[in-house]
Amino acid sequence: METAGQIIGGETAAVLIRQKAGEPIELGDLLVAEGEGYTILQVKDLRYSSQIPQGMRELASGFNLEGYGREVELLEPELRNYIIAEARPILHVRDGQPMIPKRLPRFFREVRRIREGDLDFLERPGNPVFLGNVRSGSKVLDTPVYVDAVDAITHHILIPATTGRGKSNLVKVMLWSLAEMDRVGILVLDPHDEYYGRNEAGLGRHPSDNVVYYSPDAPVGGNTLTINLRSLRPEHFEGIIPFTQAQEQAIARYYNEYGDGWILKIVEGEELPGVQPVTLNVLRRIFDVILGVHLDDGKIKSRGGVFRERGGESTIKDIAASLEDGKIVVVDTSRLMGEAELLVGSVISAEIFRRYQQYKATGELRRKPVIGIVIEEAPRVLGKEVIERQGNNIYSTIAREGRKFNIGLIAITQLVSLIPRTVLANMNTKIILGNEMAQERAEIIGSASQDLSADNRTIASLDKGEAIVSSIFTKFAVPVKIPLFEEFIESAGLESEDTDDDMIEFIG
Amino acid sequence: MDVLDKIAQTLEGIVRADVGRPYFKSSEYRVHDFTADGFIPLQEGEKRLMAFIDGGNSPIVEGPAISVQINRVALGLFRGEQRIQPDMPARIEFFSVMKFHPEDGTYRFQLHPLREEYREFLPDEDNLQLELKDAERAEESDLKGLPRKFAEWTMATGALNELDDGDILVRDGSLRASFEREKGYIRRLGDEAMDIHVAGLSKTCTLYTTTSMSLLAAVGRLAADCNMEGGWCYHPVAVTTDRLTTITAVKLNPAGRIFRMDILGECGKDEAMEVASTLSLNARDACFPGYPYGLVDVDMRARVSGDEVEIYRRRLLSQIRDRKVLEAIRDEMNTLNYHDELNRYAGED
Amino acid sequence: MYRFAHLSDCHLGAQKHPDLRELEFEAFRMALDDALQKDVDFMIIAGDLFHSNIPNMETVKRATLELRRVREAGVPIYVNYGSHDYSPSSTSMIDILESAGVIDKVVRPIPGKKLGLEFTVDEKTGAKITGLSGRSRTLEAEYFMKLDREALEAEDGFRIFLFHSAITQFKPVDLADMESVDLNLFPRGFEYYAGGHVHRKGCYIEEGYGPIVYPGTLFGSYAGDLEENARGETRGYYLVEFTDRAREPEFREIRPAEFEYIECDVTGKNSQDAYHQIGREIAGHDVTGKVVMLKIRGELSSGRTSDIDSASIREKLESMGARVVQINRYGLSTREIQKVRVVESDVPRLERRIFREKLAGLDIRNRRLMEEGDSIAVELLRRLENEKAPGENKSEYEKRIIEDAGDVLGLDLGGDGT
Repeated sequence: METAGQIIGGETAAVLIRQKAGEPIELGDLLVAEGEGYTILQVKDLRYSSQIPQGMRELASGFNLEGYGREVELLEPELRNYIIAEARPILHVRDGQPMIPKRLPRFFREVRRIREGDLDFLERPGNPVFLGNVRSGSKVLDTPVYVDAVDAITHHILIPATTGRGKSNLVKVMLWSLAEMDRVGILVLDPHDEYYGRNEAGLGRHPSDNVVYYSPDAPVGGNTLTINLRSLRPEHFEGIIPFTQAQEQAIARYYNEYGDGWILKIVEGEELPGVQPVTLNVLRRIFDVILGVHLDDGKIKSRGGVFRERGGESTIKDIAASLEDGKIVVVDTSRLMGEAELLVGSVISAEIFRRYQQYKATGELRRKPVIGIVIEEAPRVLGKEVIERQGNNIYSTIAREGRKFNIGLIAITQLVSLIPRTVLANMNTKIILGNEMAQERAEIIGSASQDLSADNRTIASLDKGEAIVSSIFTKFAVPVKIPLFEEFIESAGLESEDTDDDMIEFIG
Repeated sequence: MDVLDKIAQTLEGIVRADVGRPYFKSSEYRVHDFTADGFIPLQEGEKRLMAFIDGGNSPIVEGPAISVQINRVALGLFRGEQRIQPDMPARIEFFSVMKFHPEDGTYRFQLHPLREEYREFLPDEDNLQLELKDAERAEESDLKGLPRKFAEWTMATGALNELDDGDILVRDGSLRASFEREKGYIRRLGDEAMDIHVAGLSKTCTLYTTTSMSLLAAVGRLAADCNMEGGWCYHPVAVTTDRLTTITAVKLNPAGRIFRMDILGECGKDEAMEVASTLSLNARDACFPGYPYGLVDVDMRARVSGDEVEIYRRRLLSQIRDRKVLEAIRDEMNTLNYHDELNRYAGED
Repeated sequence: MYRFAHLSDCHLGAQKHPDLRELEFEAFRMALDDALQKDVDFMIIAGDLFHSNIPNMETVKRATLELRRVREAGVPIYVNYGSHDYSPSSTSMIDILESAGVIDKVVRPIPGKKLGLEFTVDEKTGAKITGLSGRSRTLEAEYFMKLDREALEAEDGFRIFLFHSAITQFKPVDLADMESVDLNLFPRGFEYYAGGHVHRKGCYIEEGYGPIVYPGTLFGSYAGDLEENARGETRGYYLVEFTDRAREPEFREIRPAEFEYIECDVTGKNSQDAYHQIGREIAGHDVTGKVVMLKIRGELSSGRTSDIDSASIREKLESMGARVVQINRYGLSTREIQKVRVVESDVPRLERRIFREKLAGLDIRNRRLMEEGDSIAVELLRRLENEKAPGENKSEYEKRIIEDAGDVLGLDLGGDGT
């Protein structure tokens, strides 16, 4: 056995291991101590230790730095100076069964590095979403890590990460597995147009025809994002746009009077008794700014062409139908203003939610695929302040009640601390990427499904593409290395072949 | 400041003086004048094997006429900087019980090794008996440490089996006997050593010169006058008249201090230089430059910590079932330890 | 200033009822007359001129006469295939008419890695016309993907793109399930987009494109079409004026007959009362000379649906002067049948019984269907229940099921879309 170190003391939360010279132990390394099965420990902290008192060490260093290096050195350096690793037992495996460790491994036991076989108890779930391979420190093992799509999505997924830690890459890798599943439909609200892959590798390369793309200027093969104004109802704006009471009342009046033509009438400037002209004008300006819809020469024009008077009637239905077909629908909202972006997501989500409520009532729910909604910068709709100020929106509703209807959120955020703890507690799978903000780490650790109290340092030191998967469905917080998306699809050999070279057989 | 001034002037006078020549109270030593020729620069040589020996002891239970001690003797084996595992035990431990018999004026010792296999490295109990007249010359602590001292010699003798001709055995301290009987052990070591060099390196040196200067300081001054750079050996300082020991001074590392080194037998300059050169390869540690790492190692391993003493004391006392006996033993111990009480009071324990 | 007429989805031969067939043809003739009167320089028929690729000879004969009349008046007729009158082996009626010089197909592919299209230039006006045909079930999406848009956009002049597909952006919400192609697959900047396939008319102005127009069906082919007619939908064709750009198209209504729509909801009534209610409802309408669309729906509280006799209702209406009567009873059911279900335990027998009951309540002319319908239905049900085999992907599964279904129904449904 390739010994990496030996247990020389410590306590349950911090077993102290002396590192064998030449076998560098890293933060996050997984080490194994055998005995009645074996215990897996994870390194949480590292420090120097020495048999030589501090003062003498400084003196010895002085000799070296100040020119006596030729005549003096430290004899038996590995014996007298070494690294102590603080590790925490995270799992004890006996007869192939993993369990929470309740005992300390034997004192003075040697520990070795983890091997693939040690993780054989990790099962491949029924609907596997590939996240990456198990990581020990910075080394990657040949053991893949999956979460079950249905379980994880219906119980919500949170991806906390600061920029540059690889969250878009992670989402693309996840969506690739999800694209193959009929049992799952995913709506991706893409505010930076990075998931479909217009300019770089993306989901568009998926060989199945399960990835559908909507964009205001969709390329060939994609769908043009056009939404008819009659598809928008007052409740879609709830919690997204902060209307004043006067404005809300005005909207109610227009909806009552004109039904689904309410926005058209407001934009046209049609006055209604009981509504102040000033309120009407403010609403017109709001719709102009947010939806790009305004009156020009007596006709309703659309800036950007997304929200319009004519056309786009079937878009919401089409998207919902695709989702119900188990497809991934990527909606490019990069050209929409902040609220408009959320509004589009709100309309689609509300439609899906409505349908699924119905299916539950008629008993068809279990034959329908599970729906996941990917939403970035989640505090915009799930944040404490936002909900307090503007009330609940469809996303917070889904966060609270979605599970009953097999709808879940995949929320991505830099600032976990802005999301109420009640919502966080409902998000049962957290794929934690690197985060340099201490307050955020504290929140993440506080709401995780496993005890991550010793992982503050490891989370701060997560490099790009490294993550910790903490979920009620995994036995322990699994350290993962997420492959680079471009390399992942290449090595999996999954890309659709380019059929550009084929001559077309034309009939007609 | 007047008083201190005067004292300062006295000190000044001492150190400004001439080096003089080495001074030994006893006539056993034949002294050599200081000379620049005495300095031999150290040379790179073969990496020979070095065996280091040191011991330590601590009282467990003591009364005026009895003493129970725990003793340790450690052996370290190095080739150059590299530690070698010896075939014999690298450390032996034993309890010693010393009892004074006023009826015939003898000190008698019992030896109880912690493991039977250590016994072969211990002196013979009977050999340890001391007459009062011998004992009078010695210090209290030396007396109690007698078993340990003798055990260092027997262990050293055993360590010779680990060495070849030309290798070195080094012990901590000088090679002079404190007791008459000790001489026999030293002589036996010398006989069995044959072509193995036996040396003793002292941590402290109380020798001085005819001008009241520290001997080692005088040698140092001389070295500076001769512009000696690098490591050197100064040979000879003195030789015992019965030719058992040659006393030299060595600077084993340019960054280190000067130490007194005794070599067993009458040894010439070449031998002295060889021994010192070999030792210098082991005297490069930045924590104690100039002092052999091997000696630090055995010193550390031969220590008995206060905690251990406490543990042994309790275990020993717990073997005594009779409370009266226990109290009586405590009474014995109490006669010696009032100083400790005062120390505790003064906050110096 | 030039002018052309844009028609589509005439579906000649769709109507089986002789009177309706007559009206269908009347609409066609009226449209052509109107266009000729308006002095059009050419005509475009955007697919589904005929309801099938090999229509009834009588229909063909009459249609040919009309088309020749137009041709001889010096008005070229430009067409493409629709989803109904198309033929994979170019043996559609359209091809025959083309070889007779009566009409001109403008869908002329240039083979290559990308799909290039040749323009047909109208001699008189210089208008350049090209386009794609429809295929069954809108499989032309593939062709759109490969279209060499750059080459088409590089052409100058007054360009017309003829097509027979629904466009995703413009699909009406109630037709959301229809297959469609996204507008971004079309070449940009053409002066006119002549559409077909969508039976509801519509004219769409989109930035960067000329008018995108669907004339809608000229008369109607699906039962739903006629119902829409009865409920007020206008049918006809578009008249377009142009020089270098198209003016706003003008819709020309063609109405060969009047329609009347009657709806009766008999929920909760027993069959007797329902029958009487229908009678009363009918009496309140003026149906003279009209095409009557009668819709009966609701769940009867008791009695059988077959108690409501369509024949006598039809007689009644005809006696009131109705020209044609179409009765829709799909939404009619009765609670009694549900009770029957509980008795049987043998599922296939039970299913057959239910189907028989249902059949009895329907007004079906097809003899074979009446006699064997129940067993065919049960068999079909069996086949459709087949689950996806392990390792079979979605499209393979679909194909298998469709072929199976075809077997049962004795039809060639063509699982691969042919």
